[in-house]
Amino acid sequence: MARQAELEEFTNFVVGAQSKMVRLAELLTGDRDRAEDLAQEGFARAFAAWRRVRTDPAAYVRRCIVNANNDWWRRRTWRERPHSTVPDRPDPADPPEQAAVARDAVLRALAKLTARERAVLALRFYMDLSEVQISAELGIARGTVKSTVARALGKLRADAGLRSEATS
Amino acid sequence: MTQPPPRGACPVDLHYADPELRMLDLGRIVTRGRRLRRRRLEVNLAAGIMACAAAVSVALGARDVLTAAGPAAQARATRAPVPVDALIATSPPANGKLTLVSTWPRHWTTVAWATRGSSVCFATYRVPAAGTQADVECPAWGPADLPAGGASGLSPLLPGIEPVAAARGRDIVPEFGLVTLRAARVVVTFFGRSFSAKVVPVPLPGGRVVGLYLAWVALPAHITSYGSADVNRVIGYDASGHVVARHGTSQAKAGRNRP
Repeated sequence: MARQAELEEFTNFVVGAQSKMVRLAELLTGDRDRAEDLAQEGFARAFAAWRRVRTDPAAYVRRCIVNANNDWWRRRTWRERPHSTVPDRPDPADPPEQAAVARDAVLRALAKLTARERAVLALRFYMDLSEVQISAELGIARGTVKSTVARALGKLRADAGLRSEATS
Repeated sequence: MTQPPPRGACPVDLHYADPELRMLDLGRIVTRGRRLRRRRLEVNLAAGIMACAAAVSVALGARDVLTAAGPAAQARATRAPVPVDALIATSPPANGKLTLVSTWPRHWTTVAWATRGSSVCFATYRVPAAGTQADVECPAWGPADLPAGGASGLSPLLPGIEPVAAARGRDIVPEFGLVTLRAARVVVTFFGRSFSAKVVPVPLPGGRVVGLYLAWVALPAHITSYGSADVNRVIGYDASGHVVARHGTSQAKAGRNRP
C-alpha cells in the first residue's frame, strides 16, 4: 500500500515536472533526444532515492540532469554520434515551423556558451532560481554564479546572429 | 523593430513554445529507478563488507594501503571517505595496495591499481564529494593495452575524460594514460597547449611495473565539446629529456627535447 502511494506520488511529480525538466535538459544539451534521455535518467534516479528526496524532488532531478549532462558530453564527445535521420531545416515562412525556428535560434545561441554558462543561464532564466539556489545546486560560489551569468549574457548580447534575428 | 531586452534580462527567450511535446515513458523510468535502487543496495552491502574487511586487516596490523606518496598525502587520502570502496571490493588490487597518483587539484584524489588479471584501474574523486564528480574506470586498460616498451610505449588514449574541476579560474579535465616505465614525464598537447605530468609506477602482478600519468588539461574557454582528435600528441620523456614514447603527430624528432 505504501509502495502504491509512493508510486502515485512519484507519477504526479513526473507528470507535473516533465516538460520543464526536458526543456532544462534541452537548453543544456541542444539536442531533444538526448534531453529526453537525461530527463528520464534524472527522474529514475529521483525514484530510486524517493524517500530521501521527496521533500524537494525537482531540485534533485535538476542536479541529476546538470551532472549527467556534464558526464555525458565529457564521455560521449570522444566518439562520433550516429544519427538515424538527416535533420530537416525548418522553413521559417511556414507558420507551424515558427516554434521550431525560435527553438533552433535559442539553441544555436546557447551552443556558443560553455557548459557551465548554459547551466547557470538555464537555471536562472528558465527555472527562475535565485543565485543562492544555483550556487547550492551547482556547488559553486555565489560570486561565480553572478559572474558566469554576466559573462553568458554578455556573450549572448554580442552574438551577431541573435542581433540580426532580433532586428529582422 | 524589436526593443532590446533590459539590462540583466536574458536576450534569448528560453520559454519558447515547444514544437514537439512528447511524454516521457513513465514505465521505463520506474523500472530503471527500481534497478538503481537495487544496485545501490548491493553497493552499500559491498562497501559494508569492505569496511569490515578493512577493520579486520587493521586489527591484524596490516600496513597502510597507499604507496608512492608522502606521509601527509597518505594520511589525507586514508582518512577521506573513499567513494570507490565498492569497486575496489569487486576488483581488488592484486598486491592489496592502491597507488596514490595525485592529490591535485585541491580536494581531488586519484588512485590507481592493477587487478589480478593485469588490468589497470583508476579512480579520481573529490573529497568532500560534490555531485557526481568522480571518475572510476575498472578495468581502464586490459592486459593487451599495456605498453610493451616498443615503438609507441604508450597505451591507447582513454576514450573518456571527466570530471571537470576548477583551478585558477579554468575548467580542467583529467587525461590518463599508461606509458613505459622508461618515461619519467609525459607531455600531453591538448588543443595546441602542452601539459606536463609525472609518471607514477603502478605495480602489476608478477613483479612487473607500468607507468601511469595523469595530466589535468585546461579546457579552452570557447569550446563546448571535444574529442580524442583534440589531443594533438602525447610524448613520454625519460629523466634526461629524451623521447621514449610518442603518440600522435609531432614535429619533434626523437632525441633530446625540452618542451
